[in-house]
Amino acid sequence: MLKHDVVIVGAGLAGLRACVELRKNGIDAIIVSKVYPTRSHSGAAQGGVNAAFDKDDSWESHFFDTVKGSDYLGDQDAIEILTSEAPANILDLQKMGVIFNRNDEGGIAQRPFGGQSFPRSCYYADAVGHMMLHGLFDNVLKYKTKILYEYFVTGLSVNNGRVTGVVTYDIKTGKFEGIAAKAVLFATGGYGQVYSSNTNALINTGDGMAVALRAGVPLMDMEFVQFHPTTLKSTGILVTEGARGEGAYLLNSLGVRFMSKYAPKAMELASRDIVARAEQTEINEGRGVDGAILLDVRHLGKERIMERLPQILQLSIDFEGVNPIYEPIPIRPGAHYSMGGIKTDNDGKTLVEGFYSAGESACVSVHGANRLGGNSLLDTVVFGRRAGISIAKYIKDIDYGDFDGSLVKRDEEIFERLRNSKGNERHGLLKTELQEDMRKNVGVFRERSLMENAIKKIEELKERSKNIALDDKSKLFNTDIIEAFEFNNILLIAEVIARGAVLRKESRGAHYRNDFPERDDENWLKHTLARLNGKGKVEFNFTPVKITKFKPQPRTY
Amino acid sequence: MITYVYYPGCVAQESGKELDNATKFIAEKLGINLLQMPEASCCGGGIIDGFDANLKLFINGRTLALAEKNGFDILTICNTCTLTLSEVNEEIKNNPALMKKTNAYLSKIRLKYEGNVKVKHLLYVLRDDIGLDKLKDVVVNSLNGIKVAPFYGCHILRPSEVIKFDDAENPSGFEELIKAVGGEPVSYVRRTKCCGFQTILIDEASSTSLSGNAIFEAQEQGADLMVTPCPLCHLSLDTYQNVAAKSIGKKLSLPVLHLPQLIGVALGGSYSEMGFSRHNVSLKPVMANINLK
Amino acid sequence: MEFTVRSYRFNPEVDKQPYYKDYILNGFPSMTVLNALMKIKSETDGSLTFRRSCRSAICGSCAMKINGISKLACKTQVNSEITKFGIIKVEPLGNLPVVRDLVVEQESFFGKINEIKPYLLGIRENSPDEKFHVLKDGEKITQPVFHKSEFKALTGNNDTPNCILCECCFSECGTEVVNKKYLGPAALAKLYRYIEDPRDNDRDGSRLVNASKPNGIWDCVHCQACEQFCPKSISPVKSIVKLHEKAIKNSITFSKGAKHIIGIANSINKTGRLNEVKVAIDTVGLLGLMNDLPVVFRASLKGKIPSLKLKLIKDMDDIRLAFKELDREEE
Repeated sequence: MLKHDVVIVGAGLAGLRACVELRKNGIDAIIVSKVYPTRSHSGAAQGGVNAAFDKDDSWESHFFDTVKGSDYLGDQDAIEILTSEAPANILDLQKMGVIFNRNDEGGIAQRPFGGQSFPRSCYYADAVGHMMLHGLFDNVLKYKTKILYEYFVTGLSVNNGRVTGVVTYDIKTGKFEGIAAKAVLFATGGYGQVYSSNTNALINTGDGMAVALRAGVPLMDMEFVQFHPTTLKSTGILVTEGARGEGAYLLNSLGVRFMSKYAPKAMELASRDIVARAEQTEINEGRGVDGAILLDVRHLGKERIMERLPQILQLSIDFEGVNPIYEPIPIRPGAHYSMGGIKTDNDGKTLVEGFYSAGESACVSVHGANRLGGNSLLDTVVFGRRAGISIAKYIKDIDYGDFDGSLVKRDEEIFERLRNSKGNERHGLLKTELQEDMRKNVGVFRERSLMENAIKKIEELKERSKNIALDDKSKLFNTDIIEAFEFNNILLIAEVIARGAVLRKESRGAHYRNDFPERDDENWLKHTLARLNGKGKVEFNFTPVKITKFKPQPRTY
Repeated sequence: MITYVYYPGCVAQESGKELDNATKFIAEKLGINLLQMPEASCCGGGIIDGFDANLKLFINGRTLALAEKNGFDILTICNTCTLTLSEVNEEIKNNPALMKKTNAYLSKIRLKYEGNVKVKHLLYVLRDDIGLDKLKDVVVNSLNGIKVAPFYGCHILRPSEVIKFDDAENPSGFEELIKAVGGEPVSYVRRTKCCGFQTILIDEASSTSLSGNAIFEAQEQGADLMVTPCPLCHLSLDTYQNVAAKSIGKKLSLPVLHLPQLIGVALGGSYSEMGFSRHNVSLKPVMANINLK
Repeated sequence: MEFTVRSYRFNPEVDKQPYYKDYILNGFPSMTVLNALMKIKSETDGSLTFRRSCRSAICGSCAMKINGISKLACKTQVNSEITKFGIIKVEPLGNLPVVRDLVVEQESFFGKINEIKPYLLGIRENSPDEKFHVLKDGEKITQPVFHKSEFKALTGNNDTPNCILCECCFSECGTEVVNKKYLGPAALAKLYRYIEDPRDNDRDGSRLVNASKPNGIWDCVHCQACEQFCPKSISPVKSIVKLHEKAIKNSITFSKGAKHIIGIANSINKTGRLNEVKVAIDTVGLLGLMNDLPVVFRASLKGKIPSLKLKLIKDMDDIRLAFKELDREEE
């Protein structure tokens, strides 16, 4: 069995940032990832990362914007950390080799983003996530880090209330192995694949959250799922908010900039929940164009589009057959980001000793009920770094705990059962059924009856999933079995989302209920905590929101 | 009569003289007037920007300006010259700063370039400007269905941002020509791959393995001949064929023709007119098949 | 629209040798090759094995040969391939060993990326103190100044930092076919990215010196395949040529490749032409040429040996002036 002081699961921005922090201090930290690090979905982030640099801007304003954006569900002590440490984190990245576009004074260029009262999104054309991911990965190489890639984590060893390691499955060989660790960090990303029409990579199946939940770790605020207002109509591929930051218009079938009705001041740059709902309303009321809305960048001119939005230009041509220099891009809202996740404190610590989480898989919570564009990349580096620092301190005076070897056997048996199953269900088809159902019934607009349909569907799929059979019985690079396991993960996550959404009888941020259209601070200004009980049932309780500076106010843009 | 400024390039004037001669032979038969340009310099062998990017710009800008002064497009018979001249042509035409920089130099030698010249390789002059029908009309010695492996090489196809004669993924111009003169094109994967010439002096074993692989594959596919539109490829494929055989540990014996030699034979050119005695791999075994005199 | 996907299949666990398997599919208008492969996998044959992740051409997972050319399956339209080739033939990338079906072993590729030290070396002198600084109430941060011009080579369209390490270039690379030690286009483009970075402080020029050794920048065959087939429109070969120029300008000329180019430049400066014999001698030395004696001998029998002394081109002074202009450009 392998033994390493720190096991970082996931090699997107949060995992890599934590890793750099640990490795530069000589700590025995390794990366375990189901894909090669540069394949992680952080690389698909396009538009920007927020930090107040300008002399006329302030981190306090960023602080307030984020609290307001979260619809007051974000914990204000955490948001204060996020925003006050933002500039230093960006400069830190820059020192490590990340390139940002420059302004005329030689500082980092910044563009406007939704819900931000000042242009404070730092960018690298429209590929800032790519730039940051590769920049951080290069540093992980610099510190000569052991990377177990194409290793899938199936279990978390918890012993006497302390995490003592992980169970891994080597995709290349089909062998299970335990890795004992003093501390484990899950930076495993989100669960966009719960929904059809999402912006996420196919790998974003909420594995970390599902594994944590099964190991008894609670998840927080899972009902809050962000729908991004601008995703390509036919594929759901992301079109950066940076497009609107650069001045793009949203038009309905009448050619009207309809946002004037929904957010007269901020217009297209209102926060994402508001814009996504506005679009869906236009579409539902018959003012869409073939079920889509038009994103128009033509007035920016060819040169600016090519300089600032080259990836969008190419994606629109390659995936939508539309050249945005000459035609508006058909877009619609698509599932994008999970505000909820594994509950952590401001140092990445979860409720279980020795277990940490950062990035999209974690819920600190800095995003509350709705994340602002440009804050997720920031979240990954601020809290990835903090998790690294806090893990370094934690492991200093502690020894390895006992690894629960029975888990390796348990997961081996699960896989063996899958391999030998004689059932008649295909996980690929079940996944499509689930995704479609979640989009229809737990989507942008929610109501009790629809969500209960979804729960019924989930229960049905749980039964049918027992009959999943595999075409591929091989041990060698068996992606069939991985996809089957991933399906079980998104199925579990979908259940937590749906049940949490039924429970929350109000509308807040991204969670909008037709049957409870108002925010209800009196009863619902609190976080939802979900756990699995001994019988595998999801149970909920609540925990208060930390409010320090800003009392909840009505939220308009 | 159709007139071009003729840019044979350095190799065709020295070690590859047979290429120059064969080009002139078919030009006469096809009514192509080749205007000599004794002032033209070397293009820099496709790598001179590695010495100085401005040098590439200046010497090739000068060649383009000379052609413009003459009033005709350039006809090339070397892939690498074609790419180099085309690259500089595109750079100058699309980038006003480079146009200005080049003309600043040209003005000192009483020249000026305005971007009006096209650079065309013989292969596509034959296909597009002369036309396959006209070519078929003048064939006197059809190649009898002999199996010909076209070796495109790199710089006549790539990068297609600059070189737009053919489909870089699946070209067909060469095959069409071969068919027009009565040959049967051999299909093989390496027809669009690299001959390795650029590193033949740097890493001979690797370089000649590339040419060796291509020759071997063509042989395996039943080719009687290989043809190339580039004298640099020809050096690798023919002159170095024995070395290539050793590099890949296979027996190789495939005659390699320059493009105008193949056309020349079909237009009635003889062994000596085509300069076949200058080839390393003997043409003699296939002579009867192609009615070569 | 009905079409056929013909996939390379090989699972060394059960198959003696590779084979091709055909799948007949019904397409939809904007279907990509990845869509097609996913449809096969989820509906008919779960054992078909390939990598994939982002499906939007940014993660680089799904590179494979499609009708013989290395492409990202996610951004390749079924329609255009069918129009051109009549079939979707998928095979694993070239120049890398096959693990299974369309999955290749990537260790050598990533190893080479690591080999060029893909990170900033040293710290630029006079770089401001950049201690991590958490802002207090009312406080602002001062940032170091880097002007646009300093990042000019790295922040335009299609520049090397946009590389997604998908391995298409590596798969198509001419040199890589015959020299497995060659660093390859992606690693060398990455090297260029760090050399051009104004924050890099490679004091002793070690990057260029190392890259000038065998299997580095001078082993590129200039086949242009890396540029042609890059799905992100990056040109590694142009980066490599810029590295050549940088090496020569920094007098790092110990390599045969540098000598070769300098030889060509000298020949042009003297005669306006490329003197094949002299350039060869300049590159490998007379002794080096002895290795090629059989070639030289045969060529001389055929009258193929070029003249040692070339006639000058007409108006040779023009060319001499061009060389003088280069010095002026330098200043």
